[in-house]
Amino acid sequence: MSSAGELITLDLPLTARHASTVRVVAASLAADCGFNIDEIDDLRLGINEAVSIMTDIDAPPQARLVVEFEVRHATIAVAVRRSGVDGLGGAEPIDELARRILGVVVDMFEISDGSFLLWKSATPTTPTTQ
Amino acid sequence: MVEVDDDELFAEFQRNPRRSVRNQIVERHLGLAVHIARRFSPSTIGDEDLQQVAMMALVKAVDRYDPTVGSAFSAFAGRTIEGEIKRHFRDKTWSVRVPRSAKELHLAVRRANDELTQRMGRSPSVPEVAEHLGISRDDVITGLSAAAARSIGSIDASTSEDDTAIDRREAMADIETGFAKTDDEQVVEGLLEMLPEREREIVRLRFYEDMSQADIAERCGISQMHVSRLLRRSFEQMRRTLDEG
Repeated sequence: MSSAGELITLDLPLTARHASTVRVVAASLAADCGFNIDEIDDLRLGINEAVSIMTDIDAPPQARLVVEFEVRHATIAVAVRRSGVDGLGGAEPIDELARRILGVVVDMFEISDGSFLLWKSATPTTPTTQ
Repeated sequence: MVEVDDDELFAEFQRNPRRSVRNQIVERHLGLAVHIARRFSPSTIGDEDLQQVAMMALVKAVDRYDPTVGSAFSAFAGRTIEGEIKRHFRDKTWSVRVPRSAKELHLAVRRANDELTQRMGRSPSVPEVAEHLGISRDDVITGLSAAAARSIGSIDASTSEDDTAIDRREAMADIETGFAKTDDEQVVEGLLEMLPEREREIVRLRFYEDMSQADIAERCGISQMHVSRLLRRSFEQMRRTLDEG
């Protein structure tokens, strides 16, 4: 990811149990970016897919899941990667169902250099009265 | 010392939302809060509770105010303070309780989303849900995440039968676990065919035609919450079928 936006990094044990922590942070950042509830739900679902895929290995105890959020205007870029997993560092290919789900819920996703990357932007809306 | 105006303070607050800047803005408008609180108070010296409510509303107004929308802060703050005081009266008079537990928050947020989506024709923002429910932004996030906390278990273990925990993410976490093993789109198709007609249609619309829950709800003539519930039920059923097969 570029470093043009604001960066928030989570460093967690590499286990699916911590997916909820990642989703809460994602929801909070998305709310700040002006995402509506549906968009937040979709982002959380996309995050869930990414974390599920990245944690679906027999990881050693020292293995970590590093999640970087880059927030710029109304867009959130998320990079999920593993650390402390020699020989298992890279993300596996995305299976067809996950690909289908991600295609629905985020704007763009890819695996690059061992990281799972996804992007989502808020839909601009006409402001209502304050 | 150079006196800065509200616009400059808000610009500073937006750039760097420090407590000290917020307090400067609040202090400038304390008189407004006291004035409005007194208007609602039957006593001439004012009600301390009401003044407290008004002060908190003023702080909330500073946090929520968006200078780019165009209305003056004093007008926005006035509306916010009045709204909070009325809500205070309503809560005391009607015994309306602000949801506190994670489960209550989750249900309240989902219902608010449903109502506001219908009313506005789009999914609401977090501040809109917060305003509607009279809770904080953080409480809305907590409400959204309440089901996610439950889904930790569903990713790793069996799903809950509690019909109140409606969350399609939870359902998708369930199904993802199962389908990751198959990696076969035909299996998905086969499982879809085993669903009742309405559920099959809803799942197809969500994941094959890229429709939002709100759009599906409108097309099917049911609430968004119901769509969410049906999706979850459908995926639980598909997963069970897959596991038992």
